[in-house]
Amino acid sequence: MLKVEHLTKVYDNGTVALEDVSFEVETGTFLAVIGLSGSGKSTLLRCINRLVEPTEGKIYWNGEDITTANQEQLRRIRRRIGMVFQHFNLVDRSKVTTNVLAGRLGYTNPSLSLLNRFSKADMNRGVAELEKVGLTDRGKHRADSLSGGQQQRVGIARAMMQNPEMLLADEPVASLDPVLAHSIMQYLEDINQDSDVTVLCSLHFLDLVHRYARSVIALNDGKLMFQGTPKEIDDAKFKEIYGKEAERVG
Amino acid sequence: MSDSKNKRSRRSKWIVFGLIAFVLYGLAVRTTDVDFAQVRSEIRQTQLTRILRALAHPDLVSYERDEVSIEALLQVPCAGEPPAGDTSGAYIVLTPTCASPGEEVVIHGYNFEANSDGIARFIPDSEIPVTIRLEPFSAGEDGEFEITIKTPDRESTKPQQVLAVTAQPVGTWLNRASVVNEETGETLLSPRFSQNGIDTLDKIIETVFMALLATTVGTLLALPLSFIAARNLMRDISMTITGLATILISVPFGLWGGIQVARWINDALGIASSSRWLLAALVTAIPLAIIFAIRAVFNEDDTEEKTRTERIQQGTVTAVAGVAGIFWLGALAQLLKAIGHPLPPQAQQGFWDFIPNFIYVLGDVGELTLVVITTLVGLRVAAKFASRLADSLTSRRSKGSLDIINVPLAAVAGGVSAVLIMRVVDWFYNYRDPAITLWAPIAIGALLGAFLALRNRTLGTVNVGLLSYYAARTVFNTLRSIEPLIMVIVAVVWVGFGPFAGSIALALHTTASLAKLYSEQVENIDQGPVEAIRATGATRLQTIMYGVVPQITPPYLSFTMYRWDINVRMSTIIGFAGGGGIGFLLSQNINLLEYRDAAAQMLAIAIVVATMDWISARLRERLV
Repeated sequence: MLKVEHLTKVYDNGTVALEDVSFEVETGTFLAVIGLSGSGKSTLLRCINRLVEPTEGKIYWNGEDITTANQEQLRRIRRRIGMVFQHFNLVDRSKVTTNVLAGRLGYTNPSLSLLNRFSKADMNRGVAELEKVGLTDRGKHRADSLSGGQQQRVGIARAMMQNPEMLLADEPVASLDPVLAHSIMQYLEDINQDSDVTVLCSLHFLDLVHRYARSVIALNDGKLMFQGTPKEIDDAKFKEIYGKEAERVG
Repeated sequence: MSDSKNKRSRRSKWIVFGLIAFVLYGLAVRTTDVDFAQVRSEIRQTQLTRILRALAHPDLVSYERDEVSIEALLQVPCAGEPPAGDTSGAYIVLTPTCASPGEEVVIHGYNFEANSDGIARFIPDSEIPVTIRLEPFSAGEDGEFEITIKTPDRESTKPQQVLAVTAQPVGTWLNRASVVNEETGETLLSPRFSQNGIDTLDKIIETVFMALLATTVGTLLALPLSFIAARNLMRDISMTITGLATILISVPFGLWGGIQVARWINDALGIASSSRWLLAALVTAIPLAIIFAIRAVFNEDDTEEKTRTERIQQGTVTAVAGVAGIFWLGALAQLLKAIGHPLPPQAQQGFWDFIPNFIYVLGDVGELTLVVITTLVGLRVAAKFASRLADSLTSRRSKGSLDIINVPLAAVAGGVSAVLIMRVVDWFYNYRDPAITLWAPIAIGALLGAFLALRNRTLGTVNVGLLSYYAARTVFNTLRSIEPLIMVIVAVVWVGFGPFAGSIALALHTTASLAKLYSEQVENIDQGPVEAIRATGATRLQTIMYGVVPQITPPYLSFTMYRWDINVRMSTIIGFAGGGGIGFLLSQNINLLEYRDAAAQMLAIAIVVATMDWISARLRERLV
């Protein structure tokens, strides 16, 4: 179970990105995080694995306090949390295989991995993960030679290399066309259902939320506006989350 | 109304600008001694022509010359007509063919080599062979010339010889002649490269190698330093006050320990270095032992939480392997020094001597690196213990009671750092007074430390990363602002005149500039992949290796190439200050007014710089 308590993030320039956000996520849930651009979705996800240091508040995961973990503990927490990004965040000039294997870095001996060495088991694992996302033949290509959809699949393979218990997906389909978006979302759904991985996924389109998410939280201007199931978002709630001028599409 | 006012104020502004410009340029002209009378002066113009002509004829090739004399007869004083000469081939005609001493005679030459130079001589009728120099001449395009001479005061009843002597270069590049020098008996080829040409080639090669060494060393030093000077990597590194203070206190212990270990290792090796075989055995055995030991206690992945015994085992093995590794480096250095040998004096050098010399120098480099590494390791180990200590001090305390430890700790840390800094300052200024070098820094440092600890109390942390970033930036900018031409003066005092001094100066400057250029590349990388790697649980070093390095490799290579290009250009002039290379030759020849020799060096520089420019542009194109 993931428990977020009174989470607040104020950036150095004074921007309040999150303000007193509290919610709970049961293990194995597919949770969608919705809200306008700049409402704090990315910051919230990044606070959970402390890519962004929270200013105040606590995050407990299976009873462990993430916010006070020291470097070594944090490293061990992070390696159990996979992350997928809007812009894929692959190392463009590296091979697809190297990008996928990077997912094992948290588990490899630091001094050995500096020599670009991964164990045989990790290598086989990498091949298997690439196969799952249907990119078996692309291992030797450079990451930036792949199309957007393929790059995101590599991103998913990288996250899965970590054996994650939780997956943070920061607008994973925002830079993809609708058909690709569904294919990527289906990968995430499979991961959620087959391996019982908790998925926290920020999304823009409500139809994707209705189709894939089991529960939803909504942010507006850093404040938690709504927590519940996708069905509960009616027109009134919608206006509350997205502002009075907003109109529903899709 | 306001429009015309605007216009007027704009006009008056222009007038003021004009006046200011007038005064400024007037002053500039006066202080730079602009004097067009000099430009127009005829003497200056002939001098200029002479120099430019010399520069246009670089001294690269020398020919042996054959003298060809064409004769005609002159009767002094007039007493009948001397016989006319042969008019097939080159010939000269005198008008008149007889004259009294002091009278003028015109010499007309025909069928000479076009544009050839020569001299007219008079051979008087005498017992001993004497020649009298008359006038020089130069034939035109058509091979003709005409000069007027004054008849010498040598009277005779017989007709006497007037010679037109030209010196013809022997041989061509396609058909080289060999000429035996009458004085030394040497056989010389003609044409051949002149001594100046050979020297120029020699020195330009030296120049390129200087640039190569300086670039390599500069690159190696700049690589790690550039990460410290990259804001995006350093920004997030912060430390608790307790941690920072204990680490600062640990610095002198680390330094002392590191240097001590280096000394022990050198002593131990001093015994071993009597035998090459023992050294060779050590060099091969140590890495095998290290690999074996690490295989035995480390798993390839650390999936499981380590047990206590495992951790102790691994810690011990790491420590022993570290010491053994340093020892190995020392043994390797000694072995290399034993195998190689320094260069014998110039006269006894064979071409292949550079190989043992290179091995010897590598051994020397290893010995130097050993001291640096042990010092760094010493600092690291001391810091590790210090932060362990800090952790145990802070873990059981509330934020308020932390001040009770932090303030005195910070005071001690401040005092220790101030004394260390003062040691360096004292080395420059030689105070010899403990009040200045010891007590004052302790007091000021302690106060400053305590004050900073109190000021940062609410935050509880210090951003060490940014501090080191600013420190590194300041050092690089200072070093970069000192031209290598000035650095070389210090280097010359240190290691003597010659290319080594030049290389040191260039290497230092290269390190500073490349560190800055590199760090700007690090700052420009895409943060996305770095974030993604960090999210997988990678350590800081792993993040750099997998997220940063692939992104910066192409620009790093391209900047290195560019820097080599710059270094070649710089090393051509660094010789002016005693730094060796072609600049040394060039400055000498300019001072000796040997403009044709200097022209050869300028030509060589131009060719090398243009070639480097072209090559580096090509390579960079391919990389980026």
